[in-house]
Amino acid sequence: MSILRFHNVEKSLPFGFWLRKREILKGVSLSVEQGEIYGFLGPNGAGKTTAIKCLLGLLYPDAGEIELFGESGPTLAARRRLGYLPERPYFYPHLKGRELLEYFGRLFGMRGAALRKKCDDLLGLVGLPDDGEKLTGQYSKGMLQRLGVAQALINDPDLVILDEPMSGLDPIGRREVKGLIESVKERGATVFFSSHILSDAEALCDRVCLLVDGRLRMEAPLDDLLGERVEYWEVACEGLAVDALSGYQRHAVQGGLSFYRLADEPEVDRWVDAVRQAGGRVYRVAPQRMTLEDYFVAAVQAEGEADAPETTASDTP
Amino acid sequence: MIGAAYAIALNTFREAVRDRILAVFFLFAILMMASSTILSWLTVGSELKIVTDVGLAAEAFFATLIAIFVGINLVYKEVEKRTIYAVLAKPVPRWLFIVGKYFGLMAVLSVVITLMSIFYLGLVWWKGGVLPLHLVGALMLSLFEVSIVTAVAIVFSSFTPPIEAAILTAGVWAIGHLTWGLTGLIERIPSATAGTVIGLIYYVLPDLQTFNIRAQVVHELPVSASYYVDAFVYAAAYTAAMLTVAVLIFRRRDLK
Amino acid sequence: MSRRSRGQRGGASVLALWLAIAGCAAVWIGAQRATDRVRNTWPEAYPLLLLPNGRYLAAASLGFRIILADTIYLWSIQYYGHRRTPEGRLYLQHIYSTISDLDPLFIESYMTGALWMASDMSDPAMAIELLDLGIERNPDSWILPWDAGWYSYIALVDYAAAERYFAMASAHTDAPAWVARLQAHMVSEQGDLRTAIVMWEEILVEAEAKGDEMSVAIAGRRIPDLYSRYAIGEIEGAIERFEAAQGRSPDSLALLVRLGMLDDLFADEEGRPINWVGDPFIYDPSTATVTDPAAGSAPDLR
Repeated sequence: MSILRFHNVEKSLPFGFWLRKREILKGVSLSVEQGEIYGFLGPNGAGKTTAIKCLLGLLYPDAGEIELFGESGPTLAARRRLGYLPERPYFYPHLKGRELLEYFGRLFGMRGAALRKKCDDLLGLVGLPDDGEKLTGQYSKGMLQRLGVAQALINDPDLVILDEPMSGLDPIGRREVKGLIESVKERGATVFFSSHILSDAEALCDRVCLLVDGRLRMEAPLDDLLGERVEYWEVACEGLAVDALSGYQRHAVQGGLSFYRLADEPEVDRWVDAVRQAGGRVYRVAPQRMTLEDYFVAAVQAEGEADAPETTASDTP
Repeated sequence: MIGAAYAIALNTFREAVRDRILAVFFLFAILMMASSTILSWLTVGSELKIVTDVGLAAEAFFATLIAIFVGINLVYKEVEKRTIYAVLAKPVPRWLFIVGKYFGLMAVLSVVITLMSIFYLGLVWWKGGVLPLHLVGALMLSLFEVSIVTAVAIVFSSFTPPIEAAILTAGVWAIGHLTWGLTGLIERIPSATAGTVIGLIYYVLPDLQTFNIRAQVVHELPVSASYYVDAFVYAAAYTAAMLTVAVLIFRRRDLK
Repeated sequence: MSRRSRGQRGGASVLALWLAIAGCAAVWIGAQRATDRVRNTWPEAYPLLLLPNGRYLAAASLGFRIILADTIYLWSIQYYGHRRTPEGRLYLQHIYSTISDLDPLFIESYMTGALWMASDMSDPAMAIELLDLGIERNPDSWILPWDAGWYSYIALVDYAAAERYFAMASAHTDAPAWVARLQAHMVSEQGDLRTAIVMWEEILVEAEAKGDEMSVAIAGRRIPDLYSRYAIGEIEGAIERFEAAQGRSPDSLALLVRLGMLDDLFADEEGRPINWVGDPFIYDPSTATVTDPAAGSAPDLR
């Protein structure tokens, strides 16, 4: 069941002294299924944050429609069921961490001991159990990010929207947030997160889409995009002279090793035989699959070269 | 919904109270009132009057300053610092946000005016030997006055940066103390159309002199209870209208 | 798919908000009228009493003293126009001297203030004092001394002061011709008819040169009249001196001319003193009275 849908959403915003309108979203359509982690990917300036703000009612789309939990637009009832972490969160510096969580909890109608306990649990969950009494103005960037995740979860949301959740975090922080995202999914919630760090999306997402220059370039399950297909084999050997293996073009040399790229498994078998016959030693045989980064770069380049039509997983070879 | 409004008001209250500018203004108001006791030594036989007059003026002036300088940032700062995103992503309608901010600042002003009033009344009591309860009416009306000024500040804060909002709000405050001059013009102007237009301007602009009964209370002239009621109704209706205008402006605003 | 997004809907809620504003407006206007009714019964407060000294205001105005002068000027007209009571006029001098301090070249404010003082307060001396301040600060203005002269003439009936002011005014090249006429008139009102005649002759010459037909006509009427009065005065004085010396009235006016007692007057070939148009004055030796044969034919402009 789709928990979030965009139907041909368009949005322009005024820029510059003369307030000329620039198209940010040019007819974006996507859908997020319940219970999945959906990666909303794209380069900086693609319009991801604009789309998220349209979804939350912070911006009003010029055209198109957004459905949340089956209802049109971000109704109050819909907002009751979602949590949101803004990009580069900035919270009230005059409030302590705990006060901030309590404030947001009260906005959901929570109060009293239940609210206090919830705040304690969340501070523990995000790794800030002893920082609740500090003013948020004294928090580091990473601490603010974690507090942001905590406030996004205060209402046990069915849909969590995270705008660049790993931004500003060190590797340990990133791992912790990844763990949080996975635990959110395990509780049955849906996660919609935007990022330009593809390795994070690759590790977490069930489905991804790619937004480039306000248009959706692709939307597909991650497995379908990357799959088990081997793009090529990377092999390496040692102990052979430069021209020892005829018929194979060396790809690189490094530290006495010669690297080759081979098309398929039969060719790998023939190469192994050739190395042995030449008196060399096989050092490595490794299948190489396409990464999300490869897809990303290819799609962005395609956008730059021509106005390519949208592709889905079924179109990929 | 009431819980959310309370939460926003409480947050606004905390933000204002923890802001140094409030403490500075409050301190200056107290100092001004206290210094009036020294000033009064320069008069001959009018010491109590000086203390009374200066205290009332200081209370009104600094309450207005707080209303302007805190009010102009109420909405703008939230948008500028992006703290509003996390709030409006919650089930909080924009109008509730405006109303919550307003009541938060009014809570601050109520506390500030109450504290200033206690100090001031104590000072007058010490100087005059009698608890000047007749002055309470003037102090109360100054709260009504700042309720309008705060609402006007919020209107401007919902779409302009703080400096412009401060100038515009201060301008409206100044105009509000000068509109009495329009009544004479209305009576004397020969053209009926012009008189109507000026009358419209007179009623649209806030008449803040309504809340200035300092001359009456200082001389212990009677002010009827119905006057206080009318003044309260005026302040409440005008404030409600201003907040509605703020909501009208803010509801459609794209928060980039 | 909907072309109109959710944010663009909500016309009904906008209408509701506007209706709410209108409703609040109706309530606040009613309350304001109620409080205005009460406030109109309170003793008058004079906010202008609190107007600080003009020099202080000029410094405090941070460069906006001109607009501040205009504001106080408009404010004072509204205020005093509405409250023409004795108490309301008490601080006129302070108000207008303050305006002068802020904008010394604001000519109209001196004249307006002087008008209030002279008419409403019946204090022309105060009005002239204000105009003196304006004259001191506006040495190039003809209208301020003229205005002061007018109050001196009409209100104080001080011809000497009026003459001084009119002289000050007419010394300006942009002063209208009638200022000089008024000055000459003040001289004649003080009894110095000879000087007045000389002045009127100068006015006539200047008016003829400028083609000012009105001044020519007026001067043409004033000079004969003034000369007639002057001459009769001189003749009567000479008769008195003759009677004192001789113990009798002279037989004729020509005798007085021959005796050199009327050297300042025009005489005909027969030695008789004549009026401006050349007709001899009529002398009755029995009563020792002199009349002008043209008397009654010209309008008395005095």
